Amino acid sequence: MPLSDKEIKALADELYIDFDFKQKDALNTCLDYWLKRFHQLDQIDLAKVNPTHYVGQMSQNALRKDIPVNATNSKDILDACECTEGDFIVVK
Amino acid sequence: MKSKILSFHNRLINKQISFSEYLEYLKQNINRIDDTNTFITKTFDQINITAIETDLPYHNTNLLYAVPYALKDCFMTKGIITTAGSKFLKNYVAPYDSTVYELLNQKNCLLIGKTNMDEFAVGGTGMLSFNGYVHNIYDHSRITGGSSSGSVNAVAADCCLFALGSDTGDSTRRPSTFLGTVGYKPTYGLISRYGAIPYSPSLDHVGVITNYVADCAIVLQQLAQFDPKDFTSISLKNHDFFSNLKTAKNIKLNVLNGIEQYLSANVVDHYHQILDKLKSAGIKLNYIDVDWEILGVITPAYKMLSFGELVSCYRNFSGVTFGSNVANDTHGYQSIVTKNRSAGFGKHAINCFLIGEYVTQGDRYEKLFLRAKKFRTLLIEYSEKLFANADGYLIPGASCIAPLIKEIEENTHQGTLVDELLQLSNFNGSPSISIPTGFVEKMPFGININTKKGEDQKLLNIALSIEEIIDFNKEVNHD
Repeated sequence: MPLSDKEIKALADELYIDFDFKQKDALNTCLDYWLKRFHQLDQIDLAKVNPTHYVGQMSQNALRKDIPVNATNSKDILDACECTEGDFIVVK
Repeated sequence: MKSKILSFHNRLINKQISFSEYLEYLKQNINRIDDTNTFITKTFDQINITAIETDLPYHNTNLLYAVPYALKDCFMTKGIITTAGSKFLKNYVAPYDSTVYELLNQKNCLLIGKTNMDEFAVGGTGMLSFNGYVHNIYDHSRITGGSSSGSVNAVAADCCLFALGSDTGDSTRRPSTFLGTVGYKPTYGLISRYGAIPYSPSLDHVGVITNYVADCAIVLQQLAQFDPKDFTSISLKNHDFFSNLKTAKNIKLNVLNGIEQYLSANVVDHYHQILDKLKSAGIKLNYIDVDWEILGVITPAYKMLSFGELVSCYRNFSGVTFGSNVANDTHGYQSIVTKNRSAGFGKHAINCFLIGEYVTQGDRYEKLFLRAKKFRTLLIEYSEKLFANADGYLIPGASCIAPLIKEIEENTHQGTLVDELLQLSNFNGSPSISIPTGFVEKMPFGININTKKGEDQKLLNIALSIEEIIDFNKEVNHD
């Protein structure tokens, strides 16, 4: 289902972007294509599959956490983010 | 064993060439392909030729001494503009060096330029840079593939002896197939990504582009070092990849039954000829059945994951602390940031950000993003089948020769599952290499070989063996 103007606006606002609505069709076509392909395998039961976590190297600003200014290695940063090695952090 | 780096080193040490003459030759090559938009920044004028020639006698054993190379413009280089192919960073001068740049400086490698790329490495065509399309040096009406477009062009056009790219899905390997170069993606964590502008950190790798497999091993030997500044960096007891490079014996590779259905007609014959040649040379090819339906979820899962991570990585691009600030007449933090981001990001990047935001927002986080992670796990487990009872598996390097730019503009070209298969090694973190095998309709083509995670040396040794069997470079005569 294509995204409405209101939905696009809400997403764009979240990202601090003025969306050019001339690109609306391109966005919806792209999203629709990948979602359809993604849902082609909906019948596969993933209940027992654990999502694999991967470490991600994120910038300090992107983490939006209070990283100690003297953090010099990955352990300090992971500790500050209350993460363990193996986690990947998606910032919302 | 063929090696452009070794050949250059020996000729330089033995005074068969002078560095200044060689640099002049490279400059001519660089200028000759100006119309392909390969470079964003040229740095060869900063090279101190006198110092290089004076110090030469002290570097007899350093194979990388004075070796000219190019960097994809996503690697931080202190004091040199780093754009990542984005208008947002068009004047951004990095305040620090990426680890790979530091390591190459330690060996006195010489940066000749920073190469054009799809914006933030999000793309596979070379048509998504603020700096314009990158044109294929073999045929300007065709794409190079991407996103390491300029780096691959630079190596293929003899503008440098190697180049670094990045590889989140296939960005080093697929363009290498289109340009007749060796494109290598290491085991995840083997080469530090510190100071590389990210696309999707759980999938991002540094890629190495060379003319020959031995050159790749020489570069890897210097770059494969543990880096505490990269969370994901791994250390190996033995990283003497060049010292241990030798042709492999009794090679056994899995080949996927039915893959021809995903190849364009003009590359099927070539692919079969290569397989026949390998069999004749004693390589055992094991034909295996695979579930194409399961493999069909690679790219949809890849898009969900990579765009989800992408949108996270670029949250801090405000234009206030760094990057393009065009909001001089605007008041209020939110308005300033919105103006800067809207003006700085390209249309394609913005669409990818929106999709990334969509798949990670609200209950879609679980339905799409988390589900994609589960598919990733499923695919990693499934890929064991591709490695089973063999040293690795072999697939064509792409579904076709480099597509026409016009086909991409008019949206009449569609990639196939073969192109998507390359992303499996980014999910796995396993090493993968594309090597040239010949020409199809006067355009280069190649194959892609994969081994298990951590088996980089084995992969390079297999690739060297195949390179010697195929002997592609005799046809192109790089020298």
